Amino acid sequence: MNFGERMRAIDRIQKSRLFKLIATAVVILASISGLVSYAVLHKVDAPRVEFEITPPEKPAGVDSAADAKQSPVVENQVPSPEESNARIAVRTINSILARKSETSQVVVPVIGATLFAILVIWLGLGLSYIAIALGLIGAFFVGRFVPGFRSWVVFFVGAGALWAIFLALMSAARMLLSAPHQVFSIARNTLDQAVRMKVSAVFVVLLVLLLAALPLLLDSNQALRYRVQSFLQYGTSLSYTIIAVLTVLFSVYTVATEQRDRLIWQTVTKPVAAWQYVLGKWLGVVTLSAVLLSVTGGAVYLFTEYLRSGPAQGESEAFLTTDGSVISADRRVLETQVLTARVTVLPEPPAVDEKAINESVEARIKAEQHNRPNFGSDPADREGATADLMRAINIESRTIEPGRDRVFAFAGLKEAKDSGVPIILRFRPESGSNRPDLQYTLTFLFAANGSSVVEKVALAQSHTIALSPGVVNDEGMLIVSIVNGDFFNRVPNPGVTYFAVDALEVSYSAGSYRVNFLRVFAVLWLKTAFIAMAGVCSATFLSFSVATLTAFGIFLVAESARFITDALDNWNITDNKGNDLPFFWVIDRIATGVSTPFRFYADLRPAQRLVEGVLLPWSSVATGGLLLILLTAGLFVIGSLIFRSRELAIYSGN
Amino acid sequence: MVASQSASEQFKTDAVVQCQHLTKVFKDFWLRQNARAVENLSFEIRPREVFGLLGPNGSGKSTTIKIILGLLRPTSGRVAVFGKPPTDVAVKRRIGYLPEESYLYQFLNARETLDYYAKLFQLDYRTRQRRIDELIDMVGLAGAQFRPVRDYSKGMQRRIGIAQALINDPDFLILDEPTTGLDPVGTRQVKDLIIELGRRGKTILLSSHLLADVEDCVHRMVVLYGGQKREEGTCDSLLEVGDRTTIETDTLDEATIAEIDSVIRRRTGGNKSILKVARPRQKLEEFFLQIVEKARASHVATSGAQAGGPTASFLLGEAAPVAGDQLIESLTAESNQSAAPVSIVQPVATAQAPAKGPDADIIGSLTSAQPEVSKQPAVARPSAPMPSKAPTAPPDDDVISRLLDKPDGDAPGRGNA
Repeated sequence: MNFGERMRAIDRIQKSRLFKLIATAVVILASISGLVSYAVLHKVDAPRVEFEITPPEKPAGVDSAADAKQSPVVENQVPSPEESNARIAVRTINSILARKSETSQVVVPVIGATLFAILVIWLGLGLSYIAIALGLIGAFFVGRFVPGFRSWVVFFVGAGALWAIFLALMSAARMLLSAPHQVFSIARNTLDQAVRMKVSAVFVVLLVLLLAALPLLLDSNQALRYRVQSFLQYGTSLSYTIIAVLTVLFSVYTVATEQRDRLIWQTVTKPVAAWQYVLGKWLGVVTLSAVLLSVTGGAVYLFTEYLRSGPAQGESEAFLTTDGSVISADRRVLETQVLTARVTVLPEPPAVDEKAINESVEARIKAEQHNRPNFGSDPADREGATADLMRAINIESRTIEPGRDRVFAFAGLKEAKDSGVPIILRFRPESGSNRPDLQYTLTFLFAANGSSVVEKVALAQSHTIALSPGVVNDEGMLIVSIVNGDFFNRVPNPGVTYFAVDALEVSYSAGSYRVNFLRVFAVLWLKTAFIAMAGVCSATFLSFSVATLTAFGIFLVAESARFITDALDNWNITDNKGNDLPFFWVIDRIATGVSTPFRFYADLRPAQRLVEGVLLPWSSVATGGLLLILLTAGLFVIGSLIFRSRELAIYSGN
Repeated sequence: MVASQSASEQFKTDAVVQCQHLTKVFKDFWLRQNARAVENLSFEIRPREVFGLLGPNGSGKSTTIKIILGLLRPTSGRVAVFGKPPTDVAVKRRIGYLPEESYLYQFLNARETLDYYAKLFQLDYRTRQRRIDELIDMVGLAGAQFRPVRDYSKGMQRRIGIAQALINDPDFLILDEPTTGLDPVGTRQVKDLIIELGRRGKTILLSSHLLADVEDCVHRMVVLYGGQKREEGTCDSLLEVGDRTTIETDTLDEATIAEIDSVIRRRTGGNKSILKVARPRQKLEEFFLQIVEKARASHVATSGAQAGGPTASFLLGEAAPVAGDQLIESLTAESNQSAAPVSIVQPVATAQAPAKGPDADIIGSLTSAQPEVSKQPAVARPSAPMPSKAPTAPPDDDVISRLLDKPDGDAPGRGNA
């Protein structure tokens, strides 16, 4: 029996039903026995680590600020030594320590691997993938001991594993699209084109290599929380960008080139309606992006868990500090601010007196009329003056003179108070030129429970304070007075302190990082689905090059809509006399028109939320998803109508 | 005239295709007239006929086909396919189309290509696999079915194109230059296939500028030039030379020929005579096919397309009763025993095959009057005259007169079936 015959014999075996049944049973049994063994060993050998503290008694009349300095739990981070605050801190630390022995960290990957193995078996690739897995494992173990090549081995083994997963998922997708129907047939053909034609295979290979190389680019000397954030940032954002670019290019390519090369004649002369063709092409492209996002998401999630299971700064191994403290700062920030899903609340806008505003606007108009007599006759003049005034009020409301204070209110924190989770106050102070050698002292006075925090911080950098839920009043509001100086020692700072629009916020953990991860990738897929329909729709009536430019234009406008609208707010389109310049006015109108519909798209920010540990709530997913679906459906209808009216024997005028 | 006619005419529901005053003008981006591809073209294709669309390059054949298929919209006029507009999706279930070039997905192999198109007709798995197997055998690509199309020669791609046009067992088959890129073997096979499909009740529209290919297959034809119809009719009505008669016999000696000539002159008062006597030549196509057949019989290896198999069974619907069918087949069988060209597919009796020659007895009576000098053996033969092969055969003059008086295809002593 020669090699080819052996291979064919092996292929027959792995495609036989008997083999599939036996292999599935073996995999399931192995998984169950492994999990049971882990559960038993884990219970016997790994006692639960808990931290207990007896909160100190508070003497009568002692300043709570002084007590904060004495707190043995988290110095300068838990503002009040009162019993409830200490208990909150203990509960937080224990919940972090419990993650060390969290069974879901083992159960979820095992279940995922089991399901993947069953999928591969029933795709008829069981024996092939066993050989691939053995080869990769062998290469990994051998390569570890070869000096200078360890990184390369890790890179190639990672790339090989990702490629194998990608091929298996593509096979599964092809199987799902194998029904004898026009839409599914066109979709499956599109998938085959994606893999077998170079234009998209290049992107897929690039994505696989990038994901495999990212872990090697992390600085092992950096704090664990920064490494995790960097990996999340590049792993998610960069991967999404590559997938989005591929989606744009391929969605246009697959439709435009079929018309150009006349392949479409032999499709549309079959009983295929225009909408079926457009839908089939779109379905093929979004299936490809779903597969790629699955591979990306799986790789990012698994490696993040792997990083998490490693030692943080100040630890010899995960959750085991080198200095004997309960938990290291790096680990604490990682678990409470990065690998979490926080709700962020910005301060309430300042209350304004409408009558006073109107009077100020009138005064300003009258002053301006000395230079421009016609100023104020146009309603836009009044709107502009009002906007300028409100902008100035907002800036003023965030500016604190030396030695003075300003009150900020944060609403909607009842959930945090009720659940008893810590509240994180994040702030970024600025002053003048933000000299790097200067440090400002800020005092935070919390009205709800009378607690306070004094922090000496650098300028133009983000800082966080962990607070107990006691700082939130019964109405769910956190009211804090920020003093520009050391309030208790009566030492003001040398200059004015200013907080930008996004430089002051409070947040609390409202959900699981894992569920947030799923939501983020679901939104990413919805975005690629919209981009795919933009590409397919453009290609129904435009040539390849023009359709590509159009689809890219839509993609870039959608992604940068927030930046565009913010920039337009600050863009001056008037001359010295206050008259609108026609050219700039036209640009302003066009830019506003195309960016405003996509503002919700840009505001979703799924990748950034994941990196910052910010919750992407189901309501945002539903709202954003619904709007994306409506936009996609609208483009689908337009594309189908255009395609139906086309003379397909004519392309680009020829 | 055009307007009044179009207002009053109704599409006949029994016609497969009906074109009325079809005009197609191509315009450029500025809506200026670029080319007038088709002008005031009217014709119809009836069920169960093989219809030819002929014309030189640029005469509007492909444009007309694209309008019929809905790939182009007419500037004016009306088109109906099975009584419906060309853009009707349901109608396309009954149509098979082979474009002038093979536009196939290069990344698919032959099986995947046919599977893709079969799914567009929502054929179930078993039906798809059966038809794919039969079609691949029929077009001779069984050995190359798993190679990607990009590795195929032009002829091989054309064969797959033919197969995809037949995957849905269409009622109406449109073939635009079907023999382009095919070798003579493939060309012969395609022509035989067309003829057989025509006999089996398919309606076929055949467009070509290779006149020899069309002449063998079509029932009726339209000849285009400059987008306009120049001629329309059957092969016989268009091609028959009305003032000539051709008689084909076994080899005759000079004396016999002279006698026939004298009979003709006598009967026509000297106005007519034999114009030409020649030995018929075997067609180059037949000669080529013989060589290929011998090579295949000797099992000479080839990496290209192989011998095509029989016509796919799902295409062989009920054969249409054809006048003179039995006669044609019997005559075909007899003529195959003589120096007939070797056919690589099942011999198919053609509906339009010219009627074979007169009864063998008649031929025998005509040629047995004088022994053939060329066939005389070297040894001396008895001086007694050779007995007649047909003891009851009438005299020569009556035979000739009957041949001269009856139209072609009517064998004396036999009625048409």
